[in-house]
Amino acid sequence: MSNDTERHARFNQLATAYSTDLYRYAMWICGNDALAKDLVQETFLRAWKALDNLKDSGAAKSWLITILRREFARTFERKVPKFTDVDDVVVPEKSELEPDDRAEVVLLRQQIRKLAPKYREPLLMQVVLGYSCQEISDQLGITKSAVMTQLFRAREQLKGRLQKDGVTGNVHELF
Amino acid sequence: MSMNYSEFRRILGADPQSQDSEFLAARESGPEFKQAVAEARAFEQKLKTALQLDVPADLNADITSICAHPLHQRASWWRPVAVAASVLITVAAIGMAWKMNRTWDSVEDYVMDHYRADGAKVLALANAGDAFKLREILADIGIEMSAKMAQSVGFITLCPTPDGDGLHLVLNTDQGPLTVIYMPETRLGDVEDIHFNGMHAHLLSMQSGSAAVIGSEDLQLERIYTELYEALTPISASA
Repeated sequence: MSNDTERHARFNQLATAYSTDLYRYAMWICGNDALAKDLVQETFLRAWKALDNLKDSGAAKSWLITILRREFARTFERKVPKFTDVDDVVVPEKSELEPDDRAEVVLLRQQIRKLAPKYREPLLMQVVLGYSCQEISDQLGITKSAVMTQLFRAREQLKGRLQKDGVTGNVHELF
Repeated sequence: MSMNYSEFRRILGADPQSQDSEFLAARESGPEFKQAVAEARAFEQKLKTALQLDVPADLNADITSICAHPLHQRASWWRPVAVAASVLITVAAIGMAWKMNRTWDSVEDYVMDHYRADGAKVLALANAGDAFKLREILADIGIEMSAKMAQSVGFITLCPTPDGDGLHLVLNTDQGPLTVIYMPETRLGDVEDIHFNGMHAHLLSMQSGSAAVIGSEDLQLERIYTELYEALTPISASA
């Protein structure tokens, strides 16, 4: 197999393995479908150009996330776009979700959007990307203890806001 | 020494999948611990579902085409720039950076390359609400726009074209937001509509030069063409 073919194959493997997670992560940090897609494509374009620098395939996910976060920061460091599209995403019709649970998920999305970035981002890394607390610590450049605190507070805030909103009180207005 | 309930709740709330041996042992150490685990599991399921947004079906294909498309290997789509005092400045800067070291084999190549470079970004910023100097921008390339169309401009910036500066516009129409790339000095030869990235680009001859209208497949072209043709005119012709 030629080097070029190997390079293409390697890139395609990265795209297949990580594009979904990266898109979801991008969507949650920028809140806009077009921008999220643009961010992911730009991330992979940069990855394609620098692919030879990736020596350890086990570090690929962190490498891509680092590129994406930098890209987002560079593009929107002074102007964070408004969340527009997350509300339009339909909650999946999973059989295990009862109607009340689906309503909770809708409310949960609204509350996730309202979380301060310092709480939202570690939570996204943990739940969407499957990062460990140590990996989040490495990625964000903060201590593991701080990560644990932010994750705990993120969940507590979400639970608190769900209770405050009253799942049965406000949900019906959404449908 | 076993983990106390308070510490257990702290770890459960931060890292429900923790493999810490003390934490794992504590999970089974009493009814209140088990109850907390059950509640956390239920919440995590909802959290996971809430965060699991749909992914565009063509995402992976678009990404894998990056390394197959020669245009993308020539230069970056756009260079990242800080969003400065106005979105206008930002997008203008994006356009200028994107222009560097670019050549195009055809108008079709140019339109696809341009839209891929910043089309989605400009479209998304179109309703940012920042003030822009429409008249000055148009005057820069010797063009005027009808008052009616000016009202529908969600965004406008100068952009490179195969033959000098042009315009990149987003129009808010009753058919939704439309991207228009206006090339005042580019004459069309034998061209066909372009389909790329799920978009449809119509190439139109204008009073001066040409334009590409980019939107969804069900775009009603005829009305847009007439409006555009009459709305964008050389300053000398309309004076």
